[in-house]
Amino acid sequence: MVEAFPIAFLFFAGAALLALLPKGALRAGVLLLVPLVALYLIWNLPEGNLFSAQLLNVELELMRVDRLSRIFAIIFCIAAFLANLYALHVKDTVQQVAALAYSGSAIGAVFAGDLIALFLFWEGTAITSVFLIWARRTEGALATGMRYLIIQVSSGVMLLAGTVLIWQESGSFTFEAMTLGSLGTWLLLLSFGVKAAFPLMGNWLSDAYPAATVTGTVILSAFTTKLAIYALARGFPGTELLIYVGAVMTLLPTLYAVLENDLRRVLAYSLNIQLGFMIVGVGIGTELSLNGTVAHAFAGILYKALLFMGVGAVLFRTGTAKASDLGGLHRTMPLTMIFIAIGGMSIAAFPWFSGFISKSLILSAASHDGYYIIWAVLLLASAVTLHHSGLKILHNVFFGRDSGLRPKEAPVQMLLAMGITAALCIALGIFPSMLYELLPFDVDYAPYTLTHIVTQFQLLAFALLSYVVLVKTGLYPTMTRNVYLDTDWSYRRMAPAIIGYAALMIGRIWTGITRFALRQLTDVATGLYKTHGPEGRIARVWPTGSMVLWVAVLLAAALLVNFL
Amino acid sequence: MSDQQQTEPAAPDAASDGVHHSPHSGREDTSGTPALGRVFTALSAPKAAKTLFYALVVLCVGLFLADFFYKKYTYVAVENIPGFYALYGFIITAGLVLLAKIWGNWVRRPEDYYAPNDVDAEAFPQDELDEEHQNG
Repeated sequence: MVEAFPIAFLFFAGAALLALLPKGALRAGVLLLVPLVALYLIWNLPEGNLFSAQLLNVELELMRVDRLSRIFAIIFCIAAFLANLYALHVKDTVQQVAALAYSGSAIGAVFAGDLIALFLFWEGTAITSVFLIWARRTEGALATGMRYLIIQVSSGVMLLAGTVLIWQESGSFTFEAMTLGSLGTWLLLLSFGVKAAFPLMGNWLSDAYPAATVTGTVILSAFTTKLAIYALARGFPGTELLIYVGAVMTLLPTLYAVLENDLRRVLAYSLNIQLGFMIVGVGIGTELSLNGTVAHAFAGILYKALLFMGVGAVLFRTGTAKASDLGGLHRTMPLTMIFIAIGGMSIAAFPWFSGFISKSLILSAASHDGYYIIWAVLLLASAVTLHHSGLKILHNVFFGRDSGLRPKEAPVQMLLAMGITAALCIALGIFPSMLYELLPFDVDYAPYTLTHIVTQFQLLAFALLSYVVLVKTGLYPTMTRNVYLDTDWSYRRMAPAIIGYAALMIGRIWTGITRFALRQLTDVATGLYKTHGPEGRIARVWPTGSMVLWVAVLLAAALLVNFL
Repeated sequence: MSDQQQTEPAAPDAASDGVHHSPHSGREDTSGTPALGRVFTALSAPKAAKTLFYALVVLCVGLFLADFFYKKYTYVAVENIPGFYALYGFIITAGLVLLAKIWGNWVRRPEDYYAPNDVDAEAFPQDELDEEHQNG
């Protein structure tokens, strides 16, 4: 009797079952029950390596349960449940199957005990998730999905290459904490970095997430990037380089989050910023900071999902998520507005909201360990998050200019999903021990000190004031129907342009060379023809007898060869 | 936040696609609006918004002064400057937004810049949506 089985298989079985079931209540049941059953099972699993399988002479560890993997699996189950609840109206089989298979792959990857199993599930998340983008079924979504898939799969290829190199060195596939040094470990770091949206590598995130369906974006926002955070926390804790990478990540996307018109893209940039916080935590590598990373991933999945749900509901009712086209929706979508406000307050780390109790672990770890500049950068990113992820959305969608749109309130299943997520965001903020007890290390940290509460309110109140002042004075960038070039320009415009130019030049040079050579050859041929041709001067002196002579010579040669 | 709020209902042509405009020409019919929505509408009226703004200013001044009345436990030297978090929060966010604004002038492109290989200039497919409007 097997005591445990890979939880991922439960999701895959559910996904297979979905395709067979008729659309309707039965499918909805599977979509909601699978994550809940998985959550129950994961909660009660003992620790240890619980399940291994044989694949081509390699022993795969499919169920490594410890505190780090368990908490990620738990939040993945919760996120899958909430996203499926939010998407209950969707009748598209492709999206339903993709959602379950994708969340299952992510959970499988988190429980993977070795690099081969990690690679299999890693690619699984790439291949299943792209269908959530393609499900939009437009030309633009097809192209965007293809870009997304190429980048995700190449992350997997680097993971496989790194795995092979590490196996050559150490003869082992185990996935444990590593020190950066050999080519293999660098490849692994790059592979994780692509998925975690490192600076210059992470533009796929803000490119692809806004292109998914209304519900697809909510599902996408939870898994891929947090899986990469898990892999970094498992593989590279205390790698100092990551502190600086993370700090840059909290700053650069901020510019775009402030500028962007498409609010789902604003949220994608803001997600990138939150990942920066988590990566700083991994880089510092103390128990406090790693706890902070995990806690922030947990809280971040919830408030980010809530924000994507809220903006998604607006998109669902109005057909657009662009700030320039919206405004004045507080009249008819007040509940959605409240939920977005709760998400905004959570991500901006208002006291008694979830972001406060998770982000402060990382900020404290930075200041306690003497990374003062990093601390100042994180504080800055934290303050400006209130601007783009909270106020900008509330202002442009709800208050602000009246667009004349009077959409109906979001449908029941969306309100329910947003309500539960919002309740969780507040519950975590008020009862931080709920989350702290699940963290990989024992927590000795009190988020609610008088100093911390007062200073945080000062930071946020003055950030709010600066927003109001900037908007009133007209200094805040106005939302117009524009796109803003980011690093993806390099492979979407620059590289094709360079290749196109190079192809044109090479073509021209080749034509020139061949034309020149052809002319030379023609000249030689006509010259020879002139002298040696039937009408040529040399032809005049050819005696008829010379042919007979040559035939005789050839025959003699053939005879000789025959005798030898 | 609600400085541009109009008291009158939206002009009929405010919706760019021309589908959602209100058929009424006088005061907007809010009978279909949820009660909560009417509360928010009242709060965002110009007068109330002004009051809220002054309330925010008072709150900010109060929070700034609070620094003089309790013992701060700090790890970083700059934290001991009275009102550090307040000043930092204001100046740095405003600075970053202005930086973004300047940066935006460099990288701004029309919406169809990447078309047709991008979704930005596409309409969202209707079968994914459930558009319902109170006044539609």
